[in-house]
Amino acid sequence: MVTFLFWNIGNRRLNEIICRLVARHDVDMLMLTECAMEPYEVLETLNESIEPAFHFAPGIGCQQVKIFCRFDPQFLRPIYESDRLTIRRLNLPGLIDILIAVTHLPSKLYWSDASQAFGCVELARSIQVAEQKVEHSRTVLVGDLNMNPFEDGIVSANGLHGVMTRIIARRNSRTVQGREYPFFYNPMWSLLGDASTGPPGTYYYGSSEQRVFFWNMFDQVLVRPSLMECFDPDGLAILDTDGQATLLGGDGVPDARVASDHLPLLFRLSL
Amino acid sequence: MTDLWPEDIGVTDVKAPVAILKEQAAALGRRTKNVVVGIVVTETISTGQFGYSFYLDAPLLQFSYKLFKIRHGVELYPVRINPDEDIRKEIAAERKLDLLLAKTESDFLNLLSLIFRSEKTRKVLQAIISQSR
Repeated sequence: MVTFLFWNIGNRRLNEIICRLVARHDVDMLMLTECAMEPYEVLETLNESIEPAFHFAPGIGCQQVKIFCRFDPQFLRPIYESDRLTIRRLNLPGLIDILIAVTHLPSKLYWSDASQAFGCVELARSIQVAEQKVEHSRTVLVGDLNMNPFEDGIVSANGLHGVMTRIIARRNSRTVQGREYPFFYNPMWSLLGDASTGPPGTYYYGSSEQRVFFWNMFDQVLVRPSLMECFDPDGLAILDTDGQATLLGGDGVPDARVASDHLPLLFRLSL
Repeated sequence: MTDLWPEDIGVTDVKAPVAILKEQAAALGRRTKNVVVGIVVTETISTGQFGYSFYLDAPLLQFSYKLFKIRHGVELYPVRINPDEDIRKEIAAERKLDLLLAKTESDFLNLLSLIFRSEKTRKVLQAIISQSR
């Protein structure tokens, strides 16, 4: 089982909390965005107490995402990058070869809903180009998408085409006006709201506007149908504690004074 | 039947932005002995709009990096350029005008030069070339 942790740390120096999360959940691959810390700062804290030691897996041009892994970074080679996206080939010895795409999409502060949706079209296309290059579609996409699972860019066929159930995703693709569009399975739907285990979302925003969701599921993991059987549904979690301290304020929302305004996302793949 | 079309149909001294991109893509390959090549990909936009993305491609690494994309209408210019965010910040230090819009072929060439010569582009190229060896 390979354990992954993604977190938008809001440019805070959270190396101690990160270290506790990694140790608590036995994380193999750590993905950070809005990380103002230099890689050596993260490594020094992680490798003070964690065995086996972590390595920094540098990208080539994507500055928005920093990746650290317990295995040799040669097994996590970049295949495609842009300023906000890195697609890596994860090819651990003896394990299934997959693609892992990590991204941090522009926020609603700077991009309209339409621009975000168009951004997803581009993201989907980049993933498909990478899949053609490696000749498989065993892809997992994770990141701060700055959109909810039900928004146009995530659900549209020419966007990420993320569907909420495995049964639908098992159809692999859908044809719309003569063109075939592959699915992603989006397990994040199952974590929405307070009837699910854990926090009702990964990011909280309240305002005085008419239309407010309050809790948002901006940080998501999506899995191609061909990788679904490897995805551990019980291993998917939005974390609200590092085992020592809560990441939430007294009002039950992410506490940016203590940690980040986003909550970390944990998931596991049986490769 | 009388041919009513003008004599000079198809004759133009204006070079299409995509033609310029393809020339520069080939030039990169020549400079790096094809260790890094440029690839121009046509993007699907709306009717009447033409979009292209420019990638740095390293065949030996099976790696591509998207450097920028452009968009224009039927009339070729003006061209809107959307570079990598780090490059955009660098260029903003040198240009005060609407740096995303090239109104003429000359302006487009100047902007491309800024993008290709940016610190970010150099770093990406250096990283690709050194890892390809």
